[in-house]
Amino acid sequence: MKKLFCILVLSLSFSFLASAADPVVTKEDGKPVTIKWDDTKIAEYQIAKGPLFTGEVPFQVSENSCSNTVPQGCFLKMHVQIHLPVIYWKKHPKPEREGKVVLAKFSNQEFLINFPYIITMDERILKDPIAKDFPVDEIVCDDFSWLPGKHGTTPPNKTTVTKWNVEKMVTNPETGVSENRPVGGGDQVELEKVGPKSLGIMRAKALFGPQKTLIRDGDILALVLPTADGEFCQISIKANSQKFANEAGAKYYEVLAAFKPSAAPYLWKSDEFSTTRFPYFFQYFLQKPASWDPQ
Amino acid sequence: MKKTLNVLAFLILLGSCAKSEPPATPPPPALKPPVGFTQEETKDGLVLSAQARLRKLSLHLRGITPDLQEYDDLKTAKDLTLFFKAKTDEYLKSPRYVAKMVDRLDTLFRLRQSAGLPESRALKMNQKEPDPTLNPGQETYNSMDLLFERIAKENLSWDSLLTEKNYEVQSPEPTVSFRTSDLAFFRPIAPELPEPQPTTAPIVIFPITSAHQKYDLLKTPFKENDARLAGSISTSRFLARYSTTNLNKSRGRAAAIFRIFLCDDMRAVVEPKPEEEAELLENAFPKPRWDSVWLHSSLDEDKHGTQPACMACHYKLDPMGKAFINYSTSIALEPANGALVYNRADGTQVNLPGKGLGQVLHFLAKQPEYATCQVSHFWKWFIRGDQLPKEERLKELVQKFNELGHRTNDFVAYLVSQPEFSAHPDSITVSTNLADVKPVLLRCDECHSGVTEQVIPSFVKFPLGGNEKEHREWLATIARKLDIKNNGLNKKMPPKDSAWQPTEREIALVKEWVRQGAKAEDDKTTIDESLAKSLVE
Repeated sequence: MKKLFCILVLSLSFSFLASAADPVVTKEDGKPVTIKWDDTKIAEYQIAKGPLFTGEVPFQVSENSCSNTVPQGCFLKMHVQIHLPVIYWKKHPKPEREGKVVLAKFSNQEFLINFPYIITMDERILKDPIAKDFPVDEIVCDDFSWLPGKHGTTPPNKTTVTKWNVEKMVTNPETGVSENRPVGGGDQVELEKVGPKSLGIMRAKALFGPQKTLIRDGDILALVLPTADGEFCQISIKANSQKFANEAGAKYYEVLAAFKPSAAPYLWKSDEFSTTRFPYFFQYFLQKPASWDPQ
Repeated sequence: MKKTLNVLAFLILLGSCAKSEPPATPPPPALKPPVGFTQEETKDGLVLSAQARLRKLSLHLRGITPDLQEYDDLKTAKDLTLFFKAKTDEYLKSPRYVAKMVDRLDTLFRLRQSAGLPESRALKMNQKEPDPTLNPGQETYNSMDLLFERIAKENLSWDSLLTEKNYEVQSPEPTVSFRTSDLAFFRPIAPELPEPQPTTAPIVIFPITSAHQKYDLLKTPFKENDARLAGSISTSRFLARYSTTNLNKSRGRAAAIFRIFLCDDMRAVVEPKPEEEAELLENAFPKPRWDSVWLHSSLDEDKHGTQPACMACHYKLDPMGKAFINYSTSIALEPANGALVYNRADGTQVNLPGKGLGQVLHFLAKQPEYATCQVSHFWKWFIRGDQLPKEERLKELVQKFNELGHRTNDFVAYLVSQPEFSAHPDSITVSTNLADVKPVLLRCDECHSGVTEQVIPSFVKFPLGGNEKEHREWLATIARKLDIKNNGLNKKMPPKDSAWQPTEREIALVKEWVRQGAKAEDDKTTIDESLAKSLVE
């Protein structure tokens, strides 16, 4: 997953410093957002959405104080969807540019203006309207005896993870030492049996951390669960998401390549855009389109 | 455009700040001492002159020297006692005193040691007068910093560091990648707090709010019996500074608490040599019982923490660490059981189970060792950093600390009114004799007695070994084995796997005792000055 996110971050890391004539941004409820420089140059915000991608991320339990059992044949069944907001030319003095994605020019280099982000179960749990029908991610195992309680091969009907931490190797800013640290996670994450070998990750009281995520950008998932005697125990899960990230990342390029056929206008104040993953740069472009030189 | 450039400039500035070395002490403004700035011999020994005392008072409380007018006022003062009392009160109310105390607490908590964080608040105030158009303390946007401030500003009980239940939080918060968010931290149990600034990029690379933005200080609405809250410890900054993972189980956090509040250095008992590393790892992280899967960081709880060498710390760390289990970058929604466990100097064990960090640390603030440790911090800050007072004097000060209800500024005012504050540094060396170091030496005897009695004599029966020659040799051996020259840095005894390890303070005490000639209980020296010097320097 981390690699996928790195790809997306890199594509966001533009600096647009050139100046341009002041354009007019039209934002009317229920209508496409447009940028008009003059009567000959008009651009429109659009969003393309990739197909839902489902993949399996195998995981191992690297520490377990809840049980002495090692889970066998476990994986996370995960879903992601690439969303790709862009600005494209609706009207341009050079007709060949029309229907193409707008480029921003900086230091004689042109950059494609696109703001990719991905939708995961995080957005569903955060009740982002764009993900209201998003499928539930699952923990799939042949054996659930690694969880607290006396479970065998059947998952518990319902269990709650008190604290779900996403841990990552990052530098402690107060010491300068690189260490594994919690960077996000969720409180009271509810898991429910959704199949004979599956626990669905249904909902959470809250997600925390800068990204509000249960899965993004972490190396280890560290779960704190209650035990029958009123104490808590901990389980660390190390997931190998490399293959999944590569496959999901490839979808980004597919969406980009097939942008035009699947794109739809971005309607102002519609549900066509994530409320939780609103890219800052896109927001900035909506407010300050004059700060870049459109090509 | 301008905003973008400002952001870049800010980032460059952060980078350059990170590379600069922190200054050792705030440089006081250049000021020549007035005539009469000397030490004086009085019936109480060598004491500072009134001018020198005023200068010391100002430096210790505010980090700057007095101005010339203050020296003039001193000259015309009719009653020096009243003058210094008034000056102490005045300084204790100054923002610079607050800044100094926050700096001291930052050092005590080992904060601000890396990139992007303000080095010293007092130094910053010395460099430039605060800009009246800005909020005071622009950098103090974490609830922990703000609690530190309140303790000094409002003369709160020092125990607030462990027991305070209500916090001030800043809103809006500067959203900078190296900071954790107070609002995000507390909101799960205080939904009335505003949402933190959105962080839309996966990695926040610039502050969304300007450094000059005005902010409000909001009060958290928590109840006084909320077991999830424990002063500076249940803050996002403490938890981020002493981060943890499932594997660590908050032992690092517990160790910081023992160091700060019980002066227990919790030094690693097992310091492996390269050839011993594999054995140590096997002891600390035993291979799993499961044969089918190799798990590199697996931890067998049944074995871990039972090794005698490990247990010297684990018996204390693990019970307290448990109380942290539900804290992350957000606060615990429910308190977890933990306990305050440690052995007293007399061998008895404190074992106080509690619900949540709040209760466990409430117990800690009631312990006599806690009060002694905190008074020791104050002594080092205001009287003498390299040496503690004699045991009896320390007890007196602890009694006063208790009488004053642990009120921070009241105790500081008391301490700077004491003769030790006005004494010349060379004249306040405390006298140390065998009675003072006996508790430490008896710990050595505990292991050496019995089978080795014939070879190693008791260290509290003078002369050691029965004659003067043996006595000198055994003292030299003690000094060498404890490495008192280097303050115990490379000590060979007690063995690393011993459950008891002397604290820094105990080693310093032995060092001072040897320096003064290893006095017997009748205060007579037992070794000459040259030998004493050769053993400690």
